[in-house]
Amino acid sequence: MLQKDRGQLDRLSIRLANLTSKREFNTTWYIFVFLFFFVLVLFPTIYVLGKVILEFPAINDSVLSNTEIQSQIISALFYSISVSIFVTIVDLIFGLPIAWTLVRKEFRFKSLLNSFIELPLAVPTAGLGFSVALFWGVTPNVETPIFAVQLIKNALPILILFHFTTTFPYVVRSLTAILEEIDVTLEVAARTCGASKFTAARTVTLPMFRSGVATAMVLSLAKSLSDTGGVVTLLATIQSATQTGTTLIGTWKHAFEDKTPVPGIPYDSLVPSTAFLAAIMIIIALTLVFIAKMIARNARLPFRKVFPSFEWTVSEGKAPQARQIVAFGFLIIFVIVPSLFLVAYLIQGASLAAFSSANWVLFGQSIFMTVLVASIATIVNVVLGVPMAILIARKSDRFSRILDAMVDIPYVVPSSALGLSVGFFWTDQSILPVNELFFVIMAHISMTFPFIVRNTLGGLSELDSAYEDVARTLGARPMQTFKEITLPVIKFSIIAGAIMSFTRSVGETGATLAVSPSSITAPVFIVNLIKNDQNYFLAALTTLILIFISSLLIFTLRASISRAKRR
Amino acid sequence: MIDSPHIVISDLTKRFGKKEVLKGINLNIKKGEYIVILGPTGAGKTTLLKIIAGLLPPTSGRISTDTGDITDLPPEFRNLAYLPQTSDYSLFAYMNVWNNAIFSPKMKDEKSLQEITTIGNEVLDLVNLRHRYNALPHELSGGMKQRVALARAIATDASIFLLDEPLRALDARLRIILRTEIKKLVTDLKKTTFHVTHDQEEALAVADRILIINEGRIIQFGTPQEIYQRPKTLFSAYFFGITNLLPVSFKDLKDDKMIFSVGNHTITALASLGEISETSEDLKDEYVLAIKADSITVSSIPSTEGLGLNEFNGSIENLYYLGKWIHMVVVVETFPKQMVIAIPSTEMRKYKLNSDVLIKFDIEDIIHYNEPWEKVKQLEDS
Repeated sequence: MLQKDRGQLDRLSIRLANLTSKREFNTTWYIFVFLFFFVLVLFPTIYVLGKVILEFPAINDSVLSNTEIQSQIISALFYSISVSIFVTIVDLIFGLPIAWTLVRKEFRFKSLLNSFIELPLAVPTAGLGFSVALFWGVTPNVETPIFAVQLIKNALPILILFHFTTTFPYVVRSLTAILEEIDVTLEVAARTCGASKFTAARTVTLPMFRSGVATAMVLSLAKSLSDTGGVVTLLATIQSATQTGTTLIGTWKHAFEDKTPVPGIPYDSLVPSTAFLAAIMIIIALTLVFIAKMIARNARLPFRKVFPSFEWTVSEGKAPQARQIVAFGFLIIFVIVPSLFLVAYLIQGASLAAFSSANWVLFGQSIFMTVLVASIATIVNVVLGVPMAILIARKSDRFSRILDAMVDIPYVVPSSALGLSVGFFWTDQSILPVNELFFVIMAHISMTFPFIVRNTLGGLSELDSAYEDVARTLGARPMQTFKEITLPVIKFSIIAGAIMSFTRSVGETGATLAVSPSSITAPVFIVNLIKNDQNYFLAALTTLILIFISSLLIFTLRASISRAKRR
Repeated sequence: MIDSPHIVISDLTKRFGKKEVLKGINLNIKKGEYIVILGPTGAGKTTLLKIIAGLLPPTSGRISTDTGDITDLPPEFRNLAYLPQTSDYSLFAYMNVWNNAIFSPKMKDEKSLQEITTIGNEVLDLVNLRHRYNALPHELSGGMKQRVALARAIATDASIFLLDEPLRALDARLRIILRTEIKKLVTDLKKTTFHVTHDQEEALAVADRILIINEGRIIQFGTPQEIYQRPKTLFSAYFFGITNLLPVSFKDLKDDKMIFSVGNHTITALASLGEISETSEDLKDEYVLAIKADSITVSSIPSTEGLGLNEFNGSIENLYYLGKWIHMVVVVETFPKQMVIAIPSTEMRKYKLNSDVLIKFDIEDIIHYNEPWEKVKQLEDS
């Protein structure tokens, strides 16, 4: 009744535990994980920085003497930086009340809204760019569905509108995550001391909120500096020739591979220019993120003084409700509707002709390649990212704090710059024979590695290490302790990380384009369909299939987690 | 009890960065002894347990048991059972009582399934929880959880138990029941036990010997009686019971008696009841007397003629009713501090607020320390 007989598998697992618990094995394994991270994840990601420094004379000759290159770079950087900063600020302004309402208030459509907020995360940005352009933009070549706004012709406003949809879900999610942990009673205490609701929230809760605000700013900045596929399809759909930092990297890299001339730029200057641009993008991204963290940590948010009469007015009567309506209105008009607008197009545009003219072979191949790359990258990351997280969380010395800070770098580096850098790294080495598919996989591993580590770290912080200690003193080997004690607690965090990593990889365009322009993953396929073939229908359909794959995973995860919690 | 030492700890130190948490711990523990480690928060109690358990490496020093030097062994090979301070007695939350109880033999893989089942039944019988074998920890009461944790520890067959505040988070009555239960269980099984607490009453009730540590040092190690009646330092004097610490000046030494002056009065103490100062600097004549509240006798009739040895007239400033006991606060003119006296509450009706009383210190109950007066303030403020 109480025991099953020990089977073959059990014996094997015990033997494995004995083997892996040897001190030498442990040390070797952690050194391997650590080297993998440094040599194959982190170093390739920023390799281009070193390359630029080492080859500075060449860059000096070709880039800094050519005004055409410089003006293209400056214009692209202007768009990237101004859009990312503006979007981050607006995201915070509207994200705070929404996060607040989602955590502290109960209302009828709360759970529905909760899942809707995450919806844009499941849409590959290549498709998202097209969808946003359809809704807001003037699209000379595309027949738009009837509800389209069709107002915007210029690149800057539409870039901003597009990046709202991609970054807003991240901002709201990171704000709600922290807000859930802050004790409401502190705010209640402030109110019993006579503060209005608004004053209490602003002076008591908001300052404790710094870490959430910092995370939100970092995510939003990094994401908006990084997006490539979405920007390409967005601008192609409204037929604007504007380039951002990331798309310019893709364009130049592509021109180099295709040997097509770019007006005003000598062919030989393309590689140094691209490397230079990528290095600058990396530096800008790291700097902006660093500044954002400093601001979030040190700023007296927003100011110390209290304005009782004004703040009572905004706390009472219709004001809070009006605030909520404005915030949710923003969410629906600027985030949810534009990201789903593509479905309307698909319904309207479905026709037999569209189906029969599509290149179904390439379509199938691209989906297959996407799933293959995302699966391999995710599996490698789980196997190596989880030990990395344990290394960071359980060995609390200076070394692990440095690792902790470094893990996020691949996330912050704009994906095209990352792809380019990884490509350079593998082309420049001559130890391993490599091919294009390998390039793509390695770029995706680097890019998604932080997701697994961060999520696992989150899970580990839920488990008091005392439980692991007890298991050890009760005679469990480190491997047994992990399997019996740690894993059951962190497994959902690992799965969540794996799914984030997988969906990010499925939707990624910039890194793929920059590392290997000839590798056609599904998002690259979408970009090509929109930019070159003007086959919008197939692009929309491919997007929808990717959305389906991602959301299937997300909903399975949610269901299994809530089932496990109910138990 | 066998007299050969079971655990020997020598010159153990632990440093976290620049902070020295343990400063040279030396201990000799006999087999089957029940040791209570007592000290304020941050004294290094938990660190000491973790080092013994093998969860932290010591900075220097060795630990050995009857099986040999264990300083470099990983925890799973030390043959001990550790119960850390966690909210739910560190039971594995998603395993039922049965799987928690047999965790150790299952992991060690030295016994057959049949034997493991026998062990599981035995240990759950010991704590009377066999009928709840299928319950999950969150379905159990605090006391039951503690019993399961104990059963799990017993199932390890370890000879050393390390209990870090095992009775924390239980209500007062259950604490008293369980502390006796734990003591009986581990003593019957001849386990050598370290029990960390900061409840002095708990320590006095269950310990064979009490180890007082403060700021990483051993302050005193002895039986409860020794520690209560003859505290070696001002710290242990203050830590146990209600103790009046009275700053006085040394006046004279006559034969075996020391005479101290306090305000307009003198107090006579036995020279042999002095303890050496912890402070090395020259202290001249500053002394502190430690007098336990329950050793002072009090009479409702103040003396009108001459006062006897160590007798003083005072007036009652406050009376605190504590159930079985009353704490009476008495002001003696020119004393630097009020005296607290514990009397049985049956005598309460004899006394009224602000009435005059006669108090007397027994010469056998005055312990003097050659310590600076500020030390009293330091202790009372901490």
